[in-house]
Amino acid sequence: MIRTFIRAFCLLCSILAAEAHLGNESVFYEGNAGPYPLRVFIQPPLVVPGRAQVQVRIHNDTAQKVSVLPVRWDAGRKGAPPPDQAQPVKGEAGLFSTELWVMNSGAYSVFVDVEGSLGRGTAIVPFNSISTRRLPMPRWMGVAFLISGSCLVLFLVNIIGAAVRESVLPPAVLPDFIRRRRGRYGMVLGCFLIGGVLWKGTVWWTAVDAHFQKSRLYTTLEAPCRIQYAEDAARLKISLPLPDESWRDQTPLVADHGKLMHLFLVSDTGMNAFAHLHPVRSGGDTFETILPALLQGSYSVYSDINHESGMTETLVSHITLTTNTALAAGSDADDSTWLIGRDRVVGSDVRRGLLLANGGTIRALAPLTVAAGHETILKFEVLAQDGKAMPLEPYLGMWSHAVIRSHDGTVFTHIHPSGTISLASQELFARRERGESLRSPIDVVCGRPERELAFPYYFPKAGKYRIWVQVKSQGQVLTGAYDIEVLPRTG
Amino acid sequence: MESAVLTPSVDSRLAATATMPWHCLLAVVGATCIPLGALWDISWHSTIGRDTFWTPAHLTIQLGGVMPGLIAGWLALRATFFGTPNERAASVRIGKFYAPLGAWVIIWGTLAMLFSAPFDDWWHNAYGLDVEILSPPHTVLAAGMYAVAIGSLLLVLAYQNRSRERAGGLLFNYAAGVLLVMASIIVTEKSYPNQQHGSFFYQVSAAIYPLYLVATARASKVKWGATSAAAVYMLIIGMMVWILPVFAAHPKLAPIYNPVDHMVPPNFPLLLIVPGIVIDLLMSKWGGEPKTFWQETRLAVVLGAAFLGAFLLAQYLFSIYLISPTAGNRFFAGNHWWPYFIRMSEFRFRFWNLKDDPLALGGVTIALALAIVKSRIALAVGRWMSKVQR
Repeated sequence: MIRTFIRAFCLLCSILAAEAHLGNESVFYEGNAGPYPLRVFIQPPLVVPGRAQVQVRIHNDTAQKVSVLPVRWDAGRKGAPPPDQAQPVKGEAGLFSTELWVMNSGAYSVFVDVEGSLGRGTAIVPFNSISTRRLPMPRWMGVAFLISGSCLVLFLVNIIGAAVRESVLPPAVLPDFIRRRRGRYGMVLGCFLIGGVLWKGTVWWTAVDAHFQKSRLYTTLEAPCRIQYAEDAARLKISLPLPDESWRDQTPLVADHGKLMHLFLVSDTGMNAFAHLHPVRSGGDTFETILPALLQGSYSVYSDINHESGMTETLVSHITLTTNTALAAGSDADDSTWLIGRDRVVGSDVRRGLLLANGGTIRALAPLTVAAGHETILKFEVLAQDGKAMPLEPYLGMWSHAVIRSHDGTVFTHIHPSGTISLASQELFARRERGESLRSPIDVVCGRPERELAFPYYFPKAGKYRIWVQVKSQGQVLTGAYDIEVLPRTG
Repeated sequence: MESAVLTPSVDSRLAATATMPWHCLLAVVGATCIPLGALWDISWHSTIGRDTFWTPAHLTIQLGGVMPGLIAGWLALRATFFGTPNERAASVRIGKFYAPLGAWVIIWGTLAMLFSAPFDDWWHNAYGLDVEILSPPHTVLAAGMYAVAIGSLLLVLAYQNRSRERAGGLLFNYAAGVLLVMASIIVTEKSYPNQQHGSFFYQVSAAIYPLYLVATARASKVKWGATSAAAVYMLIIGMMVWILPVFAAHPKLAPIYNPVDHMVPPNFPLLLIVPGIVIDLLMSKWGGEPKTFWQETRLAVVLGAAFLGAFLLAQYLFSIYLISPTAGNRFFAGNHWWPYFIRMSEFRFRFWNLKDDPLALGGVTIALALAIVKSRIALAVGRWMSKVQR
């Protein structure tokens, strides 16, 4: 009986471990708020409603006041409360921090207003407000709740017994045998009643948890994917999953840098092949593309899509190539691949530089050691064969791209020097505020970088990661890859 | 049969207190803080949204738990360790400890409120910040708050039944009204004026309110017990309806679909005073001393039917006015109660869900059955309450 009760209570208390949406929902934005160059870091709440942590670093240290405002996509700035003032962080010049309450799921953005000697400026930083985990109850907490809950139950049963036994007796009259027996009956009845209430509570809790999982906990969607082999090419067809849950974003897709979908293929065999493709809609919710030259084997597929609300999603799939494929005409001009080989090695010493297809090199400048849970700026320089800076061109509106994937496959992120945000989402929020059409093409080109390329990032956990860095020069997309060991969290 | 042994050292007449004990008054005042704080807190969440542990509304609720809890703890310690024979004789015993029954219930309620705090904190982290009013940890908190209010009522009952003073009866009626407010808060989400033309609202009401009104009418030693309790209920809610909107406040959470600029009031109280008067009249005629089981059951049928008939008639008609634009004034606060996160549209001015939940014979029959059953239970509870001595 006791064991059953404990098991029931523990079942009540236990919550399964959560799975994060491709491992990392942290948001970075590197850009400008008017005249103020800044970097914004948002740690969205793991469960919505919840509190997001926001840090704003003003690079030129001229800001006097930084305020932040959470704006939901369908309410706009007029549907937002008065902004929260971020407080300067002691000992860190130009760094401000605060927390924001995020009450609903869906596409949000933080409007960062900066005031200072240079005037005023605003930056819009979109982020996904989604619940990404179920908090497990620590064992000690479950035991503490069990003990204190049991004490409350015992106390209540005794109160019921005392009430039946003595409460109606005039003062100074002792309960006789019949009253004492009634008191015991009352306690037994009380046990049944309380047991019923606890059972009902367990059912209720289970229902709440099931509802949370079904209707509030964001899970990465799997996109059905298949390969159609033809004489000259292998065609990849991917279908958008159509969940019927109304709480998921149902707004149409918008093109980000002219593409409705950015698809990444990563070989499951030592990550020795990588492709960045752009399938086109072939009808309904099906997209397709011709596969470039890839080795046979199994691949993880990550498809980035952008909703009109500003919500971004990464769909996952899995495919197996039964033969080697060869690039055929018809692929998107912006598609690119990287295969491990004699002249394209995974850098073991990134300070020496990663050899690129055109003879140039990408060299990591900093940091060479990274710890999880810290703001990290991955810096690179791209050098031509003569050792001078290689002239770069925008590739899909960006001066460079980086794709980060943990070796265990639980973390996957596609970032730019502007951070982890989608510039299309940022533009959509800005257009809504200006009252402009959302349907016209979104072609945002990032500012030209200085000599080095910098990617702000936050490694969510320790382990081995591979980073592919992509740039474009003289019409050719160049990819370099290297592995990095991320140390456990410190401090 | 109640054969009992008189303790030799105590004269039972001495245990009766002529003047109202200070702890009864303070406990009831403390218990009043609980529904006041709860209504304030709901208004806070509807207006401002963002809160902390230290908001005035939360502090009021905590005061309502802590003050009676300390009083009850003191009563238990005093009776157990320093009590006179009279004090011990007017107590009930749990283990080796003595205290009035109401004090034990209050202590349990305070402990339950304390227990709910870390549970609620964990719940917020696991499932989000206050997604719903009714959640398991909030229910534990509500059970604790209820227990504090019931314990305060029991303290007053023991005084009323021993002393037979009119003040005791009046304070008991007041405490019953406080309990009625708490009961109404629990079913706030089922009692909006726009729901008052559907069967479900009357079923919920029939399942709750006769219990309090009939039990009060039976246990009170002064006349008009049910009417007084209903009047206290209406006055407390009414005060919140009239006072809260006086204070300017703005939402601090997004998205804001309804830009309120003052504290949002609760809904105008239900017209429980109408069935309260009917119940008191019936009880004064047929209530009297409890008779046989079947006589009591027949009385419950009459009371249940009277409650439902009077309440349905009054509230059905009143709700037509409440949802109309003309009720949008300071007194009735019709359509002033919408929180900041609700998109305003014409749905404010119509009754909801009439297709799925019409006020039909089947639904009303269920409500009637609930009212009768609850009236019968209330008669039994009221009978026990009228005999509580300790």
